[in-house]
Amino acid sequence: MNTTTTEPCAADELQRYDVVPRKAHQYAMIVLIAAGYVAGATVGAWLLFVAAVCMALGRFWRPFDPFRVLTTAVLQPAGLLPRRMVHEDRETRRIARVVGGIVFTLSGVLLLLLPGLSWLAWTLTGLVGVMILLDAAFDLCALCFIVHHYARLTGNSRVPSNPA
Amino acid sequence: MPLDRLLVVLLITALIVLTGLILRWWTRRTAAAVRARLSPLLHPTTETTAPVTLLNFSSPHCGTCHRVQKPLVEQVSAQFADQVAVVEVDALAQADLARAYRVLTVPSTVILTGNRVQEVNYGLASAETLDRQLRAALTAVG
Repeated sequence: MNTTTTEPCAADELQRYDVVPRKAHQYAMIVLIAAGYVAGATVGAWLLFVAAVCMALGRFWRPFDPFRVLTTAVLQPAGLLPRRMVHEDRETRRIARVVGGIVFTLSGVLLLLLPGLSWLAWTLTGLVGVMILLDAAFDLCALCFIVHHYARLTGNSRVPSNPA
Repeated sequence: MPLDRLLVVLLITALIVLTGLILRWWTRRTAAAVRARLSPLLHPTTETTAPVTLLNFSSPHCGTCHRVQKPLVEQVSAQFADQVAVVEVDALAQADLARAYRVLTVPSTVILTGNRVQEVNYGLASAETLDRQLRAALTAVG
């Protein structure tokens, strides 16, 4: 769930972000994963590497994220996509992009080097894909839900160094 | 073979979207059920005389709670001065309170007017939503 812009209010002092490039990036990742799965092991592995690079760019060099650039420099100025300024937690998504990038890279390596474990590669990739799609479509942080219930069940209320 | 895989992808996507829609419907239904109660099962101990209380459920693990929801709550409630009391609730430490309001994820916010549950928001509540709900709650209590 996000904070959409309607009228000015007291919380406007907090930073708002355009949520559309983020969603475009997420949907592009879903398309890459799906295309990779349909195309088969070798092409799929390379598409997963492309997705991993995009995730890394989105995390560490955001201005060079190709889908962000496409959205902000082409699609939005052309009026094909709107701008939607929201309050949202970027830090959690930065962590998610690192995790996603690592999973995509590992899955790609598995597909290329250990074809017998392709089921594992696609299962891991699919789990990340589910989380990305839930966040893109419903702003639902599946990782937050899992972490909260894990902490509740284990009675662990210690603050981690990188809360997600 | 690619056609089979394409069908699998489409099926999985449809299932995820359906799951998301069901989750959204279910959280709204749960919020409505909690809101329908005339009196809260549990009320946090506060020494405030403010007519409206805002419970902000979070947990130590929840980055979104501390980085976004808490500042939003503080800034929105600040404009209502003494009319709104904000109570920070650790959903893990105060599990009974979290259970009473069926808090399944954090952040979650609950707006109380006296003995009545006025609004329940599961997930990050927007500034506009909180602003609108607090105004409505204050109107309701006169």
